[in-house]
Amino acid sequence: MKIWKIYFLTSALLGSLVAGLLALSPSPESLLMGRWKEVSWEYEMKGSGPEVRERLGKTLVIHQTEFWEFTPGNKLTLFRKGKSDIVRWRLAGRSNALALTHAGGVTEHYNITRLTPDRLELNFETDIQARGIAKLTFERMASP
Amino acid sequence: MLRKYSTYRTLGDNLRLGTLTAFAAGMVNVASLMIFFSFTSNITGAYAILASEIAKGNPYQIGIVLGWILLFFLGGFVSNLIVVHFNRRNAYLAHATPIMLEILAIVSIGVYGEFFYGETLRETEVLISVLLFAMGLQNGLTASISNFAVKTTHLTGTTTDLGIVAAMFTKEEHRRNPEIRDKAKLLVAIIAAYFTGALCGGYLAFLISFKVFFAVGAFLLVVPLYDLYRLHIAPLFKTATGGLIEPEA
Repeated sequence: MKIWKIYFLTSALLGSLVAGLLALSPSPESLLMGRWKEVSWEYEMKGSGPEVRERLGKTLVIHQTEFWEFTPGNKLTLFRKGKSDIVRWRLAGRSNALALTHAGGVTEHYNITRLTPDRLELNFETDIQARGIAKLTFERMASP
Repeated sequence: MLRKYSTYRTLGDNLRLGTLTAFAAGMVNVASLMIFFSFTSNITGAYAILASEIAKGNPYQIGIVLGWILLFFLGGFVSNLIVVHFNRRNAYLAHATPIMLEILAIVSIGVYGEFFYGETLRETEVLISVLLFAMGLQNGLTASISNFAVKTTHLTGTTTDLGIVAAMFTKEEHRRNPEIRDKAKLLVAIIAAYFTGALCGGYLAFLISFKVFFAVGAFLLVVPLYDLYRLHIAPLFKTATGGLIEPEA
């Protein structure tokens, strides 16, 4: 009987630890909601020149937008020069992967390297396991 | 394949169990990587990620990854709880139940993904959890009934063992040792099956998305059905044909 008590208490302790950790911070999905201003776009690979950008362009829809707005229902609006595009977004993995699917069916994958209430950093992934070579940095904007 | 336990198992038993379950694990791992962006058949990487999330101070991610590790552990625990407590009453049932639970878990992922999945993070986290639990069930069962000879959800130990065996084969006496030769056959078969499963899983996930989990479930069903056939159906053929088909010893 004693052994079952130990098993039960250990399970309860570990379950509470996981629940406590999840309750301690907001879900990354809710943290992502709202408007983000694109403040920088960097190529992290040394010597990346026009040829790298051209190669990236085959799989990456170069955004260089003014701001991104994540809204519920997996809708992301990309604003640029008075125009806007709607993209479908979803978080996956341990909320470290952001997939953006454009109307034409093209899907881009980003690795979320930093997500705080005020700052968002994305690394474009040419391969799921490869280090990103393009880094996009955003700052939180006030909601309209 | 499932009835015999520990040292009573033959190379054939382990080869059949190892290749079938490794193929399924390879499929699940790559399909989940493509659909959920997360590996689900092993947790070595999860420990490294857990440490990195602790270092970064992300409580939400720490909770998620810790939960995934605990669910893989729970799968192994449940699997062996059934084996340890019911093995003497009915070995086949005790060994088939964890596989049936695994099939149920994997097929439920296919059903949910196909009909209800709204692509939210919470759903993704739960579905990954269920797959990790299923892989824990499988790994716990295959390892324990084969006396730790068959581990099919990850290839780290298998590849290491193959390296050891390959080094041993540089000596004539080891090349002639049937036990070491059998070990090599088993390891190569598991690696080949896992890799083939991964290729198939990736291709099917690309083509049919969540339906790939139905294919994994159907494939895994061969494991319990094979023994059921050997136990109940093959003897009937033997009687009808005057003993032309020999049931497995």
